[in-house]
Amino acid sequence: MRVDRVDRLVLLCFVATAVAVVGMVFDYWQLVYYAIPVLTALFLFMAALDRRDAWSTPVLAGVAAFGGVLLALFVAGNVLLHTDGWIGGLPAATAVFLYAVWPVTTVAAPLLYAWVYHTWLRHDVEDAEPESAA
Amino acid sequence: MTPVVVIVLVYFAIMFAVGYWAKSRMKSSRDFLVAGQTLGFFVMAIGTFSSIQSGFGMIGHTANTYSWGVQAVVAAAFLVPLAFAVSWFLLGSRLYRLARKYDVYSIPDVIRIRYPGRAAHLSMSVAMFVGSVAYMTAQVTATGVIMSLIFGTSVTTGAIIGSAVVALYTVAGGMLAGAWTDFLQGLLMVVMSIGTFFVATSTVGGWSTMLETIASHDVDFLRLDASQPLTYVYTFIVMAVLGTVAQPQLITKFLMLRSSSELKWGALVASVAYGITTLFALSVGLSMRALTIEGRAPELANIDNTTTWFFDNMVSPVFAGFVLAGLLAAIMSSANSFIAVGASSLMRDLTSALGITVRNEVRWARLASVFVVVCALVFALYLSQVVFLLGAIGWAAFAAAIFGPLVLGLYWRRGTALATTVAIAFGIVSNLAATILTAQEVITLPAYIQTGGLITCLGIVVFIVVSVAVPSRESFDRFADMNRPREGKDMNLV
Repeated sequence: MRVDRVDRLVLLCFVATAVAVVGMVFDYWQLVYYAIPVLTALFLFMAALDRRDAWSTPVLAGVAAFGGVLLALFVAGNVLLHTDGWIGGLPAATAVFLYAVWPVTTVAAPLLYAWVYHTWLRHDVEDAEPESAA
Repeated sequence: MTPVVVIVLVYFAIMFAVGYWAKSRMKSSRDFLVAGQTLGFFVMAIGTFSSIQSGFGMIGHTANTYSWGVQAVVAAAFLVPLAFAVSWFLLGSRLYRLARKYDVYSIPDVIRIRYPGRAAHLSMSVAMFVGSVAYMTAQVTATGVIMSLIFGTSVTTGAIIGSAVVALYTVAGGMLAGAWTDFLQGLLMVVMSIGTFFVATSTVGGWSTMLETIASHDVDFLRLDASQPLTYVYTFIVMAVLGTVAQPQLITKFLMLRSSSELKWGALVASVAYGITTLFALSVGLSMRALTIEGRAPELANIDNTTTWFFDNMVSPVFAGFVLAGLLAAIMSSANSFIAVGASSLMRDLTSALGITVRNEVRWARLASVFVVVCALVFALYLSQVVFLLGAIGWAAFAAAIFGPLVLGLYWRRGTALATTVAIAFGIVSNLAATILTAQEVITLPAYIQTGGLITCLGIVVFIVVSVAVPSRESFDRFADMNRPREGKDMNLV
C-alpha cells in the first residue's frame, strides 16, 4: 500500500502528539505549548483535503497563513512570558492570549473555514444532496 | 413569589412549550434522535455551543479564575472557540456526506459504517451509554444546587425537580425539542454573559480598574504561570481543544443539518457565542478577586461558591434570577443532549450491535431516555461511590475514545476496528485507573501532570500505533466503500 498525503499527515500528527506526551510526562512545557499550533495546522491541512485527497493551492496557502499567524502568536507569548512588559493592564504574555490569540482564533479560524468551505469543500458535499442523487 | 422564581418558572414554561411543539411533529426515530435532519446553521451552531458550555464551564471556570487567576480561563476556555472551527473543518463535510448516504444517527452508527465486525461498534455503544449517564449524573448534581438556591428546597428535591423538567421536554420531543431548547438556552447564556460582564466589572470600577486593583495586590495573579505549573495549563488547553472536537453532543449535531449550505457559517456562530460566554467566568472570577482584595468580599473557603456569593450579594434580585435561569440553561442544555445520546446508544446502537431488531423506535427511545435520567438520579443522589467513578468517564474519556477512531478514521484509510476497540478501552480504563489510584493515594502524580490531556493524547497515539502494527484489509475496504459517491441511501451496512 503506497504512502499518501493523509498517511504523511497522520505521521506528523503522531509525532506532534508523542512529543506533547513527552512534555506532559517530563514537565517540558514548551513541547506541549508548541504542539497546540502545530496540531491545529496539521488538522486544518488534513481537513482541507477533498474526498479525492486533493488540495487547492489557494486553500493551502490560506491554511498555511493561519497556521503561521497562530504559531507567531504562540512564539510571542513565549518570548514575552518572563519580561516585565505590560499591555492593556496585563502582563505581556497574558495580554497576547487575551487580546490576540483569543479573538483571532474565535473569529479568524471560523472565517477561514467559511472561505475554505465555499471555495473548495462545498463541491465535495454537493453530490450528497438528495436532489443531486435523484 | 420572588422575581427569581417567576423568571425561572417562565423559563420552564418555554421549555415545556418547545417540548410540546416537538412532540406534535414526532413521527420517527430520525425525528427523535437527529431532529429529523431539519436544523439550519444558526439553531445547530448555537445548540452546539450551548451543549458544550455546561454548568462546569460557567460555574467551575469562574471558581478556578477566582482561585488560580487568568491562567484558568486561558487553560480551559480561550482556545475552545478554535476547537469549534477545527470541528467544522474536520467533521462538517465528511459527516454531512455520511448522514446523507447512510442512516447515521449517532457516533456508534458512524463506527458501524467505518469499521467491520461487531467489537468496535459494541464497545463504542457501551462507551456512549456509560459516558452519557456519567455526564447526566454531573448535570443532575449541578441542577440540584441551582434549584435549591432558587426555590429554597433541599439539593435532593431540587435535583429531582430539575431532572424531571429536562426529562419531560426531552422525552416528549427528543432531539427536536433538545436542539431548539439548546438554541433558546444558548441565546439566554449569551445575553446573560454580556450583561454579567458589564455588571461584574462595574462593581469594581470597570475592566482597567479591576486589573489595577489585582495587580497592585498580586501581580502574579494575572500571569500565565500564576499558580498552576505551565505544563499543567497547556496540557489543559490540549484537552479542551481535542476534547471539544471529540464530544458526542457536538458530533451528533452535524448529523442534524437540513442541507450542506448550512455548514458554511456554523463555526463562526458557535465560536463567537462560546467566546462571549467565556466573559462570564473571566469577569465574575476576576471581580470577586478584586472585591476580596478591597475587603468587600470574604476570602471564600469553598471556591465553588464564587458565582453564588457574587450574585447573592452584589447584584439586584431580578438580575440574579436572570443569571440563575442562564446557569440552569447551561446545565440543562448539556443534560438533554446526553439524554438523547444515551437513549440512542441503548435503544439503537447496543441493540443493533447485538443483532436485536427494535420495532417502534420512538417509544423505546422515550423509555431509554427515562432510564438514562433515572440512572443518573439514583447515582447522583444515593450512590456517591458510583458518582466518583462516573466522574472519571467524562470529557477526557470521550476524547481518547473518539478522536482517533472517528475523527482520524474519517480521513485515514489505515485506521482499524481493532485500534478503535483498543482506543475506547484505553480511554475508559485509564481514566478510571488514574482517578481511583490517585484518590486512594496508591500513586501521587506531580502537580504539573494533567491526566485528562495526557490520556487524550495517549489515546490518539494508541489508535495510530495499533492501526499500523495490526493492519486490516477489511477496515481499508470499509473506508473505500464509505467514500464511494452516493448511488442511493444505504440503510443497513452491517
